[in-house]
Amino acid sequence: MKKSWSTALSVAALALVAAPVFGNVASVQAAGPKSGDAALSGVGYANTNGASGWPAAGVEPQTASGTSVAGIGFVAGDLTLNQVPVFDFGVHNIGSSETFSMQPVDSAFRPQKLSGNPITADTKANAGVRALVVTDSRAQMTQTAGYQVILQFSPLQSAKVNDSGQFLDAKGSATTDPTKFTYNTGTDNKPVTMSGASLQFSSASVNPSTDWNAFIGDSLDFGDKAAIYPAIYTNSGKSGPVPAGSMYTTQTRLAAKDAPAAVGTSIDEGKAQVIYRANMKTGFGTWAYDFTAPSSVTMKIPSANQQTGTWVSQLTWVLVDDPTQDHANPIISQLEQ
Amino acid sequence: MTSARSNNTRLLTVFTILSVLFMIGWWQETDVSIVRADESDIGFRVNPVIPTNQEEKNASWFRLNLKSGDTQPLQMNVTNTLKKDITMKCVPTVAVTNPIGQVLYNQMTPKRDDTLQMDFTKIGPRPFTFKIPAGKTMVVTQVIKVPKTNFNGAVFGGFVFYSNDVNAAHQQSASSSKRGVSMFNQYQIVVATVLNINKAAEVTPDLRIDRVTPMAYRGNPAVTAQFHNTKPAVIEGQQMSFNARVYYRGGKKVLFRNVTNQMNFAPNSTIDYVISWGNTRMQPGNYTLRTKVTTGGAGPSWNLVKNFTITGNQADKLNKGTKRADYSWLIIFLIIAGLMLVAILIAWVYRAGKRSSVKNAGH
Repeated sequence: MKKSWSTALSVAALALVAAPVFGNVASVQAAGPKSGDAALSGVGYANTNGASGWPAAGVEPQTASGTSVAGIGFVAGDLTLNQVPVFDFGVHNIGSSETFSMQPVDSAFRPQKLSGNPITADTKANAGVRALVVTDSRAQMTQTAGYQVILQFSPLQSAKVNDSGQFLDAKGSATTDPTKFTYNTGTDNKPVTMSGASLQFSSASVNPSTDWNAFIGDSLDFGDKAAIYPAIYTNSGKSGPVPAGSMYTTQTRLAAKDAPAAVGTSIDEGKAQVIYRANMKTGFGTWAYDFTAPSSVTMKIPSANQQTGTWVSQLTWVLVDDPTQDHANPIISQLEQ
Repeated sequence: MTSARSNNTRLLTVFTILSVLFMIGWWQETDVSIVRADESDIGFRVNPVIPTNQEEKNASWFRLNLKSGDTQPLQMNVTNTLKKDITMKCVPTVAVTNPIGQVLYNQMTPKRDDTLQMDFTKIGPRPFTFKIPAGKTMVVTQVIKVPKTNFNGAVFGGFVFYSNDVNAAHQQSASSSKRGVSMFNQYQIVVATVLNINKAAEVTPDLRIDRVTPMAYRGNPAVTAQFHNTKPAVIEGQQMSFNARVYYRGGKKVLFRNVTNQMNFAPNSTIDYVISWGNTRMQPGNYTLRTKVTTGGAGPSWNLVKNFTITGNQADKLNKGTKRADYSWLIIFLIIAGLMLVAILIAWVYRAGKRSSVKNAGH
């Protein structure tokens, strides 16, 4: 009798000890395995009541439970914002123009086509540096749900700078951290802004055929427009090891019909709107929305609104999937004047 | 014997089919045309964990049918892909609509629509801050608690994830010291959320024009009309079209027009719709805005009318930036000059005629 009580107590104690561990296991299973994981990465939790935690060493969820991947299997990946472009519209004399193109991109930062002899499994073509790059690997090709990228263009504010043009923080010291910039204020104590600015996006070229290498190699600056192409691809028909975290490819399988869409549009200062959208069944893999061409995006500021000084705006890039969109429809509406 | 041969043939056929299938499978295996970046991303990723009671299993948003008093936890996996610890923020928002009819879920403003009955940020979701160690994934849980209510309708909101650490890291590398215009990038990943409360399907949208206000648009005179969806019901599927026309009050000639298609309208939100005068100078006076709003097929439509007045002061202020010069004084001068010329001509002809008749009478 004593022995059975002891056994029962032991079981109860074990259950109590194990309870928190299995409490975390639920979170682990929710997170699921990721491609490239050796097993399961540790998964913590954070709740709105301020509680957060991390499994202690030795009781990490992957040692307690988890989904093992035997042999070979494919798991749903992520929707990932890989890269966004930096727009630099340069310095201009006031009133010299109302439309400003971006600075040219150095050759080293342009899109890189496949090159080298022989082309090996590791040879890859890459997107240009001034490009928006998004990866969608949540579902298999032709099964993707789509996504959209919204750009929010905050008003241009007059920043405080020293004689050398360096931004100043609240203590009057030079800083390169935009979160510490200080701004000139008007008589109403509000930041001085330059109104009427807008960003104009050219329509984007998408390769009508499937030879992306020729598209990137021969279409320097894509006719001075934006362009859309697979951000990474390798040579057609090549085989070889799969680089960690990526899957091998040919250059011929992702066609223009698989590409996300972008149309020429414009965003007024202080506003946010969709600039790039993958509709249902498109956008699978990694695609670049390339702004290498100086006129792919221009800034318009009416002459009457232009003021001397140093002006700062923040561009917020928002990756979201909007349930109200009809993802089968590839056209983005545009404001008429 | 025949049966055995037949069986062999069938086996051969099955084998051939299997071989072909295997070959197709093998070809697909070795010729996968997938391009996926193995480069790092902006620094974090967010993936919603779709609840078992959600119908759209493949969605990357939450859309749930809930009832009065229901509690619904929502989980999102947040991964730090950097090699350093970062602090993340999760901010719930209420969905709004931008001027061209796109629903935005990332506007972190305390301003709320005056017709909003159920605020997404007041029924459980809360803003909070958390740290993620390098390379780790955390499960963020937000809990929806529908109050005991008779409310029927759709509640639209979102969870905005961002990290000042990530923003700062990118901005440091991109910033420079120079005069002119500098633009700095910030990053947000947003999980859209739709809650259909009680009998939400029975609620239909209703539109009105709140006001029409003169304003400057890209340096030109314009008006902005505030269209208002006053009901907790969405217009979705990019089926909505605006056809807005400005008339002189009582007039039939369309002076200015703006047409936009493929729009959506979030519940209890407004669209600030711009009708630009372009390079035309704005004249003070009484005007009427007429707008035909359609939502496609058998969907509802509205013919909305709003009178508005532009004062002389408003017109003067907005015309300052107009590129087209004000020729009105020149026109007045030319008219007066023309009238004077005509008067002189008439007088000259009259006097000449009189002289001629006097001469003729003398003969």
